[in-house]
Amino acid sequence: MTLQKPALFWQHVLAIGWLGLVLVLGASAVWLPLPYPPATSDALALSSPPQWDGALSAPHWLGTDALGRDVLTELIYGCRTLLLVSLPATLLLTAVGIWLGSVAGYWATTGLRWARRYWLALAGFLLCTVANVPLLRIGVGTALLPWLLWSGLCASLAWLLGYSRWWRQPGAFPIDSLVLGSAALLGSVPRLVLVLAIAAVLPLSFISMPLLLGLTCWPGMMRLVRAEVLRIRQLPYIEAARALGLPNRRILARHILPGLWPVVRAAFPFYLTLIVTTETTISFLGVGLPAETASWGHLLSTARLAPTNWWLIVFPGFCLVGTIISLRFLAQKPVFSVPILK
Amino acid sequence: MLRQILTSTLSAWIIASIIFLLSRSMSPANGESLGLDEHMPGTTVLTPAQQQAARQQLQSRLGLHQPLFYFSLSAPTSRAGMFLPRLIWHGQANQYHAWAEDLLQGQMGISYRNGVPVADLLATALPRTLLFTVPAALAAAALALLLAIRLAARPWWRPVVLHLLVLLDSIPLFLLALLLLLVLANPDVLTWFPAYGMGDAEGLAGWDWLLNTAYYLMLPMLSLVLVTLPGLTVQLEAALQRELTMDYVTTARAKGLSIRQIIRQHTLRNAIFPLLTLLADLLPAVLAGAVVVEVIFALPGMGRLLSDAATARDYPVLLGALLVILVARLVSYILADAAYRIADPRLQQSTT
Repeated sequence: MTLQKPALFWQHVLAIGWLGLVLVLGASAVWLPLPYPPATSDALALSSPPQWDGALSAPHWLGTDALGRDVLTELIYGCRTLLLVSLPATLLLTAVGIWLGSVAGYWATTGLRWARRYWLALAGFLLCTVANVPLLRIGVGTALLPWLLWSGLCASLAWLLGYSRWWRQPGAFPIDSLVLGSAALLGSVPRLVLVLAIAAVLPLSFISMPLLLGLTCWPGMMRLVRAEVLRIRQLPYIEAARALGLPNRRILARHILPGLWPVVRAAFPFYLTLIVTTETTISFLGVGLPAETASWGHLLSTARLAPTNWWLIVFPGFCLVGTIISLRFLAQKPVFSVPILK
Repeated sequence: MLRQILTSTLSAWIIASIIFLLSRSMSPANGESLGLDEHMPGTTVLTPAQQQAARQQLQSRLGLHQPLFYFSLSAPTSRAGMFLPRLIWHGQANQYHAWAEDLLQGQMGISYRNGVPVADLLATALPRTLLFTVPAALAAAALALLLAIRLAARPWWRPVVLHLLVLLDSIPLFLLALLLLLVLANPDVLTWFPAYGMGDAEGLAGWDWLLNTAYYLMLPMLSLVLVTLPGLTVQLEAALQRELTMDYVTTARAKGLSIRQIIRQHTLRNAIFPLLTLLADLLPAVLAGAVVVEVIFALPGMGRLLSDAATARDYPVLLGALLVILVARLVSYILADAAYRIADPRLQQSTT
């Protein structure tokens, strides 16, 4: 279908090949026989241009930056950072987006209906969890015991209220407006500024960085999934499934989720490019990952010290743009063919 | 309309509050990273008591001695209330209340780094940023409009330009700015433009000042325009192409109008709606882009302030800059809403 034209086919092969290269290099970076280890400076070769002759025992093939770090090594370890930060972040944002989007879309018109006693228990549970979080600073033991006790109390309260008729009746919760509201909240600041502000406050590492990126960038994915669920929900086979008496959870998991696959598959590479761009940008600004971890953004930020050293801009820049363009191809949206006038 | 303004204001307030509470709860309350280290070179060695006194003085000057929020939770004291976290009510004497009160009076606190009021910093930085972001946003919108109108008529160079736009769209802003710097402000290649700074515009006035400023701000503006242009153009062009499939276009063709006349006079007004939403996001997006551009071209504006505050953990400045961006977004939403009303008379009639 999309692979009819030979040019398009070759573009596809190139895209897959480049991404495969990045994947393999990133996964095997630790075991590769590189002449220079990462984050160490070669004091004899500060900002030296790329050298190919064998005068040195181990030449800097792609040159070094102003601190004497080998560009090739930093590039390959940058692939590793890409795999360890951007990929988990995108997986997280996809998971959050699918989960919130499908729940919000499925119960958009009716609201999430659940017995009133369960709502009460849930509210109590959340309240006691929030109240106990500050106590964690004093000690896990002092926080855990009251938390367990109060959760148990909430559960037994729900069980006891089961005898009352009013508490057994379902109450609707407008989950849709809650999800859309929090998406609007996150969207009220430009993404880069929000991530920058939070990154300044919280210390970032390989764990907190994907968490931060994933938990702030989900609204776009959520909107896509929600719109698709709203569409699928109207289809006759869902009506048939409901007429058969299947529970909502089963309808969602077995009949709606598989239908979301094309949307998610097209959106995933696109959001990966967004995350890669954001990550390299905040690393470039010097706020992101610690300065000694290799990232293409860090490498490009060293080019600011010496703007005339072209090899510091061209090689990482090529890697970055190549990755983003390849991912756009995989998105398989009609990127290069705009709708045709009939 | 009013409802939208209210909800946007509310969400701006919530975001600012969250960042404030996060920053204060993470902030160095004991003054260690506020320049009160044990052995600072060139100072007399302080006794621990003196250090303690200095810390307390600093904390009370920055208002950090008060509790953070209206209430706080702490571990139970007596055995009787063992399973009940103790809730302490602080009343209005807390940091959040003081911050909010100051903010409503227009005071945004004092920079941790150099002791200058944040409002003054913002007041000097904001005009410099607007000086090149607003022309950049206007130029991007105008160029996108022109280019999309030309492209929609399907000239032979349309595929080439579209491919170029997609390529341009996949270059991140900071890389684009670096490339421009490398090519156009490099003594080895071309030195058309200065590499950094705003120039020395002290004794200049009128046209000279304008030309000098434009000369120095050309590269930052160019990078912002180039990075926002592809998205706008492709969207508007696609909208125009969709409109061109409509029946009224066929009628207009049958009447004998040329394709350019149809595009300019019939389809453009319908196709511009998706662009208006994008334009509402353009001002905040360009302000965010200014963060990157100002760092690269060493311009002393809002974005530079924001990123410096982020790297130095200067929270009052960070919050102030964040608030300015939130307000800019609010303003651009209101403007977009007004633009919708002008572009679509149906909206006017339905609400009044």
